[in-house]
Amino acid sequence: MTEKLKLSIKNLDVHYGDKQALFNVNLNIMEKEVTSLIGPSGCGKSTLLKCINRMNDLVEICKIRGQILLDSQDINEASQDPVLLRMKVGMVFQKPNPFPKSIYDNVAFGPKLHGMTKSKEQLDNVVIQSLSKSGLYEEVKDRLFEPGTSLSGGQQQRLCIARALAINPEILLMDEPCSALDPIATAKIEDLIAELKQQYTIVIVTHSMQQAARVSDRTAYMHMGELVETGLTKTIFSNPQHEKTQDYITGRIG
Amino acid sequence: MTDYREHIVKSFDEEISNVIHLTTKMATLVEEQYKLLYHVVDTGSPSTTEDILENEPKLDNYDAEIRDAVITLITLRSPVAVDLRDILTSLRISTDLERLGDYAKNIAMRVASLEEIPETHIKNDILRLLNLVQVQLKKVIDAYVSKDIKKAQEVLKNDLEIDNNYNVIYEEIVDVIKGKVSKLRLLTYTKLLFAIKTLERAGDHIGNIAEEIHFIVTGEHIDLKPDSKENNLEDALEDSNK
Repeated sequence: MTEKLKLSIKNLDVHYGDKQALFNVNLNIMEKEVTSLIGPSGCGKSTLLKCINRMNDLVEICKIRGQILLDSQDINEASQDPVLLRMKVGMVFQKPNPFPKSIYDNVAFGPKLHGMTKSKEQLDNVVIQSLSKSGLYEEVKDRLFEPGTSLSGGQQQRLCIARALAINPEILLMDEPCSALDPIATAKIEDLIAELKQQYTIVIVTHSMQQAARVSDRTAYMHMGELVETGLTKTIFSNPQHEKTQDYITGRIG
Repeated sequence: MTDYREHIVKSFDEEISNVIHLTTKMATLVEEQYKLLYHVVDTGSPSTTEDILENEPKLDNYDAEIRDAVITLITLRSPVAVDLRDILTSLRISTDLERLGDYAKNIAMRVASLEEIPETHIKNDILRLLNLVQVQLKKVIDAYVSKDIKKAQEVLKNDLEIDNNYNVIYEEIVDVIKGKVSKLRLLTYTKLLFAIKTLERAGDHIGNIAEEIHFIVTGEHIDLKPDSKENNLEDALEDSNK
């Protein structure tokens, strides 16, 4: 662990119309660590995740108050370009959602869009490197031009991770990345997360307590829009300080 | 006493209760063994020694039953935090209980000839030591059932009294041995030395259980250094009260 602050969320309130979804959330996310967000459905985990790459911009009734500082820069400032932000902050969703394009084009899409490469050769390199990083290259190298949707669920998810990595992000957001996958595909993704954190800062939302315990360095427990407790994962799962956290992780009514 | 809410899955609660219930039953049987042992030391009754020997395999059964129940629970529920501490601790406590049961049996077989020695004060002192062990055992079982951390701390403090009594009796017996003693008597005294040492160890196992209770409730270990037990115990208990 580098113990370097990457992302600092300060006094964050989020409203969807009249309904308040997040209440004064304060959370520090360290560089090159895996932080997991856990909590019952509707507690605000995904809302918080979406704030980090401004996906809530697309929701008209969404109002955000407070600060989200990425490397000390407020991402919601008027001068900040959300497209550039999303280059720095990649996202992987619950259900694998490859574009209806070839495996190659799925990964090449981002770099092309952002004009990151100057030649076909460079682009090829980015695609191969990204697929290698997501552990998929060996499995698909002979069929790069087949549709991404022809892959298995677990492979599709790793394709989505490769797609996110292709634009060289600093932070990777993962919203229940394994909930649609079988145990073997899940194990591969978890393995991958452990590798990726050498290079990236990862924030993962998960409903699997064991997964949070296995993959993350720090865990934040959320309940009804509030951040109840945050700490080292080891502590949260062995000896949480807050009764609500204890009730939730031990499967009591929380 | 710490109360926790019920689990969403009811059978999870039942399974944890079952493990705790088995551990408590095992502890109660160990308590019974020491009651019988007191009778043996006091009266030399061979039939009571028989009773102790008969109970012994039941303790082994409890130990095995607790282990199976814990394995099933971990497999089915993947418990964490206080639940995990609760059931893992049952495993350790049952090991201590099993050992305590062994000790009761060993002592019962060693003290049968206590009647033969003329020094009645030694017998009385051993009875007093045994009584201290019984009181500690009862207290630690109470502390376990009610998850009473204060009571567990008292048990840890009181172990010193067992140690002190052991030292006194040890000196008494050694003094007798230093005088003129027949070879047959010498064997009896040696057995008694083993018996009191075993009682002193019994106190340590009761102390272990008290430490486990502390761990279940707080999630933290009471750390004791063996050399200067007294001072460190005070410090450790003070720390854990903060």
